Amino acid sequence: MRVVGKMLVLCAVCAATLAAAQATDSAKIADYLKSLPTVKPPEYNEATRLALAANPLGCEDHPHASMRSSTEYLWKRQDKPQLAEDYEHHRAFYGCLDWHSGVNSMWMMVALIKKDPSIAVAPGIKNVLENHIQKSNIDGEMDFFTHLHGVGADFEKPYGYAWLLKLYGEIKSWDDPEAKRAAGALEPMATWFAKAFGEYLKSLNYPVRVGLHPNTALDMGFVLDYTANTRDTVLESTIRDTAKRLFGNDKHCATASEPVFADFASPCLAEAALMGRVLSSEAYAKWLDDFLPPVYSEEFALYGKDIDAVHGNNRDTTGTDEEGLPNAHLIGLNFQRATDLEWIAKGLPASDPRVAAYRRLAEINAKQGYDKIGQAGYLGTHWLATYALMYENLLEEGPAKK
Amino acid sequence: MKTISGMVAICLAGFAGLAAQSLSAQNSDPAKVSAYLATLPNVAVPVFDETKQEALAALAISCSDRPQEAPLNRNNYLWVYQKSPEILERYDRNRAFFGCTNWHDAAASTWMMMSILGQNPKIRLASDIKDIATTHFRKANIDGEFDFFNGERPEPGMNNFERPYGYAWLLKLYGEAKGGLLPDDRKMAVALAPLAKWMSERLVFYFYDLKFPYRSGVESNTAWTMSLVLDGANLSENTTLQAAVHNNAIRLFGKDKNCATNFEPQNSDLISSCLTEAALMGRVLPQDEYLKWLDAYLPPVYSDAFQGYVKPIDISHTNTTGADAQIQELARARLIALQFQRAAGMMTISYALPKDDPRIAVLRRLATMNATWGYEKLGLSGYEGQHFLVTYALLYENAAKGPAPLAPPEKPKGKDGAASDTNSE
Repeated sequence: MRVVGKMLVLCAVCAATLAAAQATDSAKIADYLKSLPTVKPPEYNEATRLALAANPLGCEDHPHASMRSSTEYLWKRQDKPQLAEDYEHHRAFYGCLDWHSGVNSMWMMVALIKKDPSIAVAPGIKNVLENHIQKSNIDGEMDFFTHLHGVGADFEKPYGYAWLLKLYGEIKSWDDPEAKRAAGALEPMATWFAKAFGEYLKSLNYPVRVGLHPNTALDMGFVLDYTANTRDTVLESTIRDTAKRLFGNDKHCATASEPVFADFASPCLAEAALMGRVLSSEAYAKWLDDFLPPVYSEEFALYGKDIDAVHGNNRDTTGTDEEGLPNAHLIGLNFQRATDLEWIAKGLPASDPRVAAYRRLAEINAKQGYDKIGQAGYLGTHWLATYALMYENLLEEGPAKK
Repeated sequence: MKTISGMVAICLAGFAGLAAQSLSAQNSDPAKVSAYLATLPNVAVPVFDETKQEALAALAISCSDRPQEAPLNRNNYLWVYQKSPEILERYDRNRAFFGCTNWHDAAASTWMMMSILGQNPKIRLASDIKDIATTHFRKANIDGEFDFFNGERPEPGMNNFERPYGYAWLLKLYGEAKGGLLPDDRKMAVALAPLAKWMSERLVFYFYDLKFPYRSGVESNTAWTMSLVLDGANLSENTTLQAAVHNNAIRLFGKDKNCATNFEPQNSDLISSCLTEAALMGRVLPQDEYLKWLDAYLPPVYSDAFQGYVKPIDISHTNTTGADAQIQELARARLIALQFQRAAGMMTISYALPKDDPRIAVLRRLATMNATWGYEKLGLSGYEGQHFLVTYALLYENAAKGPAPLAPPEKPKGKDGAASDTNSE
């Protein structure tokens, strides 16, 4: 009896731990949900959409700044760089600070008027689309990308590639005369980028896990939007195979060490979101049990807490323009978390008790993102609206089937 | 009874889960460590003889005079230069570290040659090494370096050139030269002293200013930078820098737990985040504190979470047939270097454990295995590998010899000193 008693005590300890690896402790999940504040992100109405649209509209024709010159340790520049002549006819994505933001801002505007064709900014957006996506622009882009070599050959790979494909998928699946024209013009890029992205995935020995542009799970998620919209089954199966190869056996994601520095993606949530899209609900529910700590555990608590975007970095130059401004990446991280949490909820069986908790956390993060969306200057406005829209669009889709 | 046995069953399942998840927070079980050792293959320690030393030195020699490539015009998507950049006039007289692809690898290669020369002054390549040590480190070369680093920059962000990784290599090179016994070491130490002082002062501020450590397995990794710096600071008796490493290692890493060994490596890594931090902490914490810290930080050697270190790093997916061949080759070289870097980290951890700790034998066996896998792939990465990979091989070889010295060796005491003739040329 003494032994049994001891085992029972042990058992209580064990049971707690056991639950850590199980989804089934509905009572704890329900308690945890009750402990979370109910928040209201701004209502997603036309006013919100217009406010968001102002950002990409304002930056798409604002050319990238000349990047810093080299430090000239061994090589001296003889002159200053000049804007390429006639660039607006030979480049398509020359606005919004950098190439990938030029692309994702275009995606944002397209996705917005595709859903809401009568929004007041629709004509302005169509005008941008018409000006930027012409044959000569795309020829210029192709000429640039196909001539990259040496240590510069990875310009915008993989993040920019993923965005170009997501943009193309959005346009290609839009039943609209202007969209048909633009899709035709963009097609050569999409074909080339799809092949290159697939080769890139196959060349990875291991994933890239940092919460920044090259994050493998994040980028594959964008490209899954493209494959869903275009039925590119070749690239889709490459993504599924790669996801299973690189992430299939992952366990115990180190959520407690997030976020670091200037992250704009949560490595753990991005991977969990992706796997929810490539595994069956049942297989996913199991995989997720091993991968993410329970929603009510201490290791998960950070996703419900505010992100200190002002002090959250090592004075990295990646997202902070001026001392005292919040780090734009850490604001975007709120939206990215919110989107990922929605994807995770969608990946689970509808009856899973975790779904409601993930959704609530998504709202909490979206709210925090909206609270800070305008506080980071141009380093925020050139891309944050895109990340906000990804969340809103996913939310509107409702509990989609895979 | 049924209920109880059911609970016991759950209990066992739960306990297994607990064991898998958080044994890292438990004292490593010595019996299991010994049993685990018995399962490991018996691998011969790679021979490090003169031939091997020459093979490594030859690669560093051959890249030292090969100037770094012109900077790529990453602006030419939208911004164009009308003129090509020109190499600095008389760069070979005004710069010291202009070879081996980039500044930090040039510094690392110089360190490697000097270290090999120190270990084997009669190596056949000695005159080649001395030639580089002379021609790259004249007063004019070093003045040029100093002026470059100390010069005005158009933008403040550009003051970060080569900080912290390049600084760390320079300080390691300087410390080992200062503690070295050859006349060439002394000349090198004198030449580098101003630059070493300048970098040391800035790195001290850098360490104290960090709010968080950089943890990913790339050059900026804070624990790795500190490890290289400590090698140098101990030998140059730079107490300010030693203190900066000690204090900030404890501040930044002292509370770390459960390192995610199972998520190593990433595709672009050349450093093991977990092993490097564990190796550094073994050098800055007193042994009793370290043992506690280590138990909570690294999973037991026999656990599943540790087994990622017990198989060769996979480089089979690397594809060098496309336009990005150079980048692919470099990524592969980094993963090969990582085998040596892991091996060096394991040796360093083993030196921090009590003599009777059964983990010592396991870590050293695993170090040998990792180094062997590294040597097997040493030639597979072209120039992208040659220019730095061998420095990581030597880091392992040096670590395999014993703990890094805590202070400079006693200098020969002149003609009648006991050690006076052992290092004469």
